[in-house]
Amino acid sequence: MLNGIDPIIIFHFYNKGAIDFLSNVPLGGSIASAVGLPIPIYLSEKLTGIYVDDESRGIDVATRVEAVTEKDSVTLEAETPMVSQAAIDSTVTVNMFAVKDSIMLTALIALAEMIIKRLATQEYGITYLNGPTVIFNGLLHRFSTSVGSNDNLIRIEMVLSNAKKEAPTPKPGIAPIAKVTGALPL
Amino acid sequence: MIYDWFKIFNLAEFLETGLSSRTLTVDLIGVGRVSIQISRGNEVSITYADHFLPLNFLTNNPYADGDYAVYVDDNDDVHLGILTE
Repeated sequence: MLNGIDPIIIFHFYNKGAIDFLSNVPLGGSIASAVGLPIPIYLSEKLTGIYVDDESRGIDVATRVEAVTEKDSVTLEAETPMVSQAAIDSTVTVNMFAVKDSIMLTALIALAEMIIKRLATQEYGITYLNGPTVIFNGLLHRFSTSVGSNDNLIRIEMVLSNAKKEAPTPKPGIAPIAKVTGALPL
Repeated sequence: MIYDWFKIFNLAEFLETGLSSRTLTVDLIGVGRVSIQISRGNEVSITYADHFLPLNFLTNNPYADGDYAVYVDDNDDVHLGILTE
């Protein structure tokens, strides 16, 4: 935050080639992905004409319940099913207002457009700092603007996701299964 | 008939989990990455390419349906067979 008062959004764009090159070095991948071209935008009504109206945070979890066929030998009741959970997404929704002639608003929209070209490679990161609400190196999940007819304010909705994972070590893939040709696999 | 056999999973290990079904994603050489569903009712069966292949169905081992077959060996390893000739 600026002077500990105003929220701030930081866009950073980096080169994935540099990350892959440094991934073999300890912490190299993490450092390379954190270093890029940082572009801060202070969300201050006085400084930039953009201010946060409200924000919310959500965590989506996928819960999978798998039935088991075993029964308790004494009570003859079915065993409790296996439950597994996985995080789908963790998002922060920030609703902002900006005055129509704000130059930083134009920059904010232009930066969002730049991200669109980098969505497939994920060569970008968005950091949002506002008190207890913090996202480091997040992904853009949604960006929208709307204009009312009775005022000179532009409403901006930005949803940031924490789904990005940095994996400095490559994950092992699925091992291929060799075939045995014949009437039987002997 | 001649099949290309691929060892998919171990039957005893699957029965130990107590699960009623499980979907495996495997990489078969010459075929590619495929999904195979293992299901357990009265007997254990696999479903591949819309073919339902019960293990040891009516004491048939291997059991074949069209171009595909399933075989359980002495080690309880389950093999998926794809017809070649």
